[in-house]
Amino acid sequence: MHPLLGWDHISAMVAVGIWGAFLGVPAIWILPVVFPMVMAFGGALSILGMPLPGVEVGIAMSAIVLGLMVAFAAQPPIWVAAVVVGAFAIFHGHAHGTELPVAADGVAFAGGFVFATGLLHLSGIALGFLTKWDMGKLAIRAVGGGIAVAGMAFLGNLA
Amino acid sequence: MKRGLTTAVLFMTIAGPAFAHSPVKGIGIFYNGMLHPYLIPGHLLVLLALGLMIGQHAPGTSRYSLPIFLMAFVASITVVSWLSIEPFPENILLIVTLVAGLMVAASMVPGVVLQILLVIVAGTGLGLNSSPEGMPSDQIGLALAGTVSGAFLTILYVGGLSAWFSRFPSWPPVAVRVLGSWTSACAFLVLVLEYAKSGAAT
Repeated sequence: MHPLLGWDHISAMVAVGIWGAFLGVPAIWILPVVFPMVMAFGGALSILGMPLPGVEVGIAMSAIVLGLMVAFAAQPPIWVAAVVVGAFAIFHGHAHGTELPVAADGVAFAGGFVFATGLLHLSGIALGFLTKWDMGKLAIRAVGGGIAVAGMAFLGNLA
Repeated sequence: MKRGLTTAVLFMTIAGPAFAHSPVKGIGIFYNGMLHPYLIPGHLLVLLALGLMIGQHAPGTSRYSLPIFLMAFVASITVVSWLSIEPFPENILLIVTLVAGLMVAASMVPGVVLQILLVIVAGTGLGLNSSPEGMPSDQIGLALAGTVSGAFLTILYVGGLSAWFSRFPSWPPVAVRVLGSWTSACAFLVLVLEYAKSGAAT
């Protein structure tokens, strides 16, 4: 439930899915395939006790940057998008990994949070299909702006 | 006295079978065995990953893998029903899950040798770790038959769905790859967790 209980995680994960829809094929499937693996790497760093400075700031920044990407309908090369999303995935994974060692069953816990994250991506991709219509595109860009504003609020709360 | 004895005998004759060691009451030994792979997350995960891998490039890859998996599972579960054997390390099942999940995520065709190796290790490991504990000896065979059926049906159905999805031109093959990515990410995290725990213990 961890990814579903924090608005910072929810907004960033949904933004990844929406951005993928904006970027089109192959980004729409590369991002959801790559993200869980990079997130697992971030989780591994946390489990091994390797500190990552500014995890919460990184998560808040992910909502701001990904929200802005959607708001401006940015379409960078696929490798740039993968690097941006992958970098933020490490922060999200690190935050989830901190929770993992206290879980009674590691497989069930890890499976749960990977699955929850994936479902958030799918929700974003589903929302992204609205971009087929002009009004939908406008609405989705507004959602991206909202996510960026929410990210700034998360960042403000950390200060 | 006689009446009390009669009542006791009547209660004993109408009493149902004992399910003291069964995870779900009232569904019988066979079906409890069948549910066994679903109640252990690590077992379910390896079955999912192998099913996805076998189905993704079927029928070429499934021709040998499915019967060999079944043979390895039945052989090891037969051994474990007769002999007391040390449990198979669950981490090896996680490594199989990780490799199979990565293959699926990258949509790589595993070679015949690698695929056969993975299904033999998984079948053997699952069989050795599916021994029912504290069950009367005359019911063990039925429980193990249920476990084999449950595991094989899972890998068969997941493989079938994976094969079917992989034939579509649009998003369904991507969904298979995403599921592969999820299983490998999950296995990787738990492996690291186990490593960290073993490091902390020593």
